[in-house]
Amino acid sequence: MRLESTQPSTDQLLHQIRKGDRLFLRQLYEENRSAFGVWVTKNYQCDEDMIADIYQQAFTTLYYNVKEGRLVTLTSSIRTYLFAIGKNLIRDHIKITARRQEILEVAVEMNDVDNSIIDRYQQSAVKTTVSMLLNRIGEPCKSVLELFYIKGYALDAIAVEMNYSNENVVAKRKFICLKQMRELLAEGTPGDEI
Amino acid sequence: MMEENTDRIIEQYLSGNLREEELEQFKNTLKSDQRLARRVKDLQAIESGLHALGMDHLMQDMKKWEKDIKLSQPPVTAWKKYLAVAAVITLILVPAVYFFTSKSPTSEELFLAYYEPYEEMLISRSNTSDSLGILLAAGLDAYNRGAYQRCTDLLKSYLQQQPEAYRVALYLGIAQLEIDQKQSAEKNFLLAQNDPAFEQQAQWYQALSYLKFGEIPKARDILQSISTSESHYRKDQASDLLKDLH
Repeated sequence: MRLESTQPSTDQLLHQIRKGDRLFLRQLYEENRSAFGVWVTKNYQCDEDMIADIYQQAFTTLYYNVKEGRLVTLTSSIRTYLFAIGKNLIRDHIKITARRQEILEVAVEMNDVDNSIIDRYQQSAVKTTVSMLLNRIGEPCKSVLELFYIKGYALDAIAVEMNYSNENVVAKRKFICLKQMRELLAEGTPGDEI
Repeated sequence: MMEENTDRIIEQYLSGNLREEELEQFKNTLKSDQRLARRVKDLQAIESGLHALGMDHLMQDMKKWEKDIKLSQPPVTAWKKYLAVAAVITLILVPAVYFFTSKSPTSEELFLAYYEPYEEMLISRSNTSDSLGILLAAGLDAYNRGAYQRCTDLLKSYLQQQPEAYRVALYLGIAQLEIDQKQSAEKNFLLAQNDPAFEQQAQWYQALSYLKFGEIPKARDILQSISTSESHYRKDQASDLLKDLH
């Protein structure tokens, strides 16, 4: 089934993403995947793994732009938007590859540092800590935080799922849970920052 | 009570919901209150870790979806002993199976495969010292940002005052194509063909416009003419697209 055949407006589609509807997200992913592959193959020299990688990055960008309110409405279709992100990512990739090639061709200076690796390790340390805190925090905080941050549910969807009266109650609860996490962090690693 | 109010402000700060004046005030407080700043920094770090876990979760889901897409494609058999028989059967069956079951790309998929907005090259040359120049610059700026509705409004207004600005009609046509204003887009692609420097580009986008809206015979006519032209900048793509349309 094609998305267009159900004819929801683009704003309705964005609303579905905002709500955190995973099934819809999967459908959106699948509906655009093959056309994306065709388009990239036609325009750029990329292998299958790279196409999948770029598509996933484009899809992640679309998802977070919607979830974090940077993309509220669209004049084009979601597909066009997704492809536009993909195009930028490919161009960046091409630039980075060319730059890496340049670096390989000249002598590497001793003080050259790959910041991306450092960032990745730091991020990884934060993730491990937060993951441990999540396991210690207990209910209902564990579920509230997991639903909001990890599964991408909107506040009103969490209210329905967890029987809270409305999204304001969920927002308040979420903040209390974050504070509890901070307290756990202070107990476990006094004086440390993550 | 004061603590509750601080909590409310931190909560709104973290969720990006503080009003401008409150935000400024809070930022100043953070500069002078190190304890509060540390508290906010910790909460931001925890949130960022949770977001990172969320991103991992999405990546895992996408990997699974990707795997499912691959699995749903027919497997390739490696049984050598059946290859010869399979080849014969294939030779007999393929035309028939292809005829009944092949799923050619739709015109929309082909459009997406071949389409990308024409790179804007006018803005550096436009004179922004008068109101018309400003209108044009704003329209082209909107075009570059992908704000096609805004671009359409501005360039339409510019063209009303400068009806012979044929090259502007090309950008307007592309913006209209993006927001599905079919007839206006086609009208502007025709208009843009009056400028010899932009005639080929306008032809190409006119063909893509027909393709996007499923008018295959019209698209095919233009593509035919592009592919047989001696020096059209899209000659090769037009030939490829014609093959894909068959």
